Amino acid sequence: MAKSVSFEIYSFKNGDWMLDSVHDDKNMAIHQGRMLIASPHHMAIRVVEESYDDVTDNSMTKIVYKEQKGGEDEKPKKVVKKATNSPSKKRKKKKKKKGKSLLVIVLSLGGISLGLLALLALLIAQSD
Amino acid sequence: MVHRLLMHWRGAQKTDEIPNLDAVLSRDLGDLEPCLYVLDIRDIEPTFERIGGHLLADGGKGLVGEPVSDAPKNTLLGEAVKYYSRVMVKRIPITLGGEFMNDKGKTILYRSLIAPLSDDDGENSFLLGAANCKVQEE
Repeated sequence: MAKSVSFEIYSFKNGDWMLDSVHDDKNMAIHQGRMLIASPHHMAIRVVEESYDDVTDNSMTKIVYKEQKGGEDEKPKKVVKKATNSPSKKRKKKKKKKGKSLLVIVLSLGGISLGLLALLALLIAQSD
Repeated sequence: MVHRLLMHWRGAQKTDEIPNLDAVLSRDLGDLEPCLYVLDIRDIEPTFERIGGHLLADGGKGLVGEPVSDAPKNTLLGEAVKYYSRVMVKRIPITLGGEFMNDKGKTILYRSLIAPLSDDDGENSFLLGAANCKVQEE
């Protein structure tokens, strides 16, 4: 046998593509893929055709079917990006909070200093 | 047959893990049962735990409790079990079809499935296999 072909179903779960099953029949693999995407555990699926030529020792892979919940194929990657973006947003919010608290401290210290100066002036006036 | 059995296998999954042997076999498998076999893979060489009627008649006679290497070549069971080690390594279902010539000189076309199964402790201890075939018309 010079060339062998198999169809691997990959499922996108928990932020990663996982191998679900392997079939020797394309229609069977695509049908199984459609069944998987209908279940709640799978966000997206891909059927990858892998062909291997043992005479030339070359292998080739190509996506023959892809589907995901909610539309475009690239959405799983966006989900990952969103996850990495969210901590920096939090950091920005934290910076804003820090700025506000610094202003409150400066204003409080200023108020206390003015109070002390007024008290000092009063004491000097009384001693005169 | 392969598709229907995969549906049962997936139906017995609690979440994503390998389903339990009893959870799959306790389902209403109907006419699939004579086409099934179970391998116990806890020993160094896997052994046949059970063999369905159709497979008993086509290479499986007297093989319950015997090692997988005893399955005769050019029989449905012998061909269907060939790739069990790939399923043991990958721990995912694999389906495969093909043809072979039986001892009567007929070309037999077959389809098969092997899927991993767990025991009560959640260990990957069994393989569920299934196969059916037809004689190629000349």
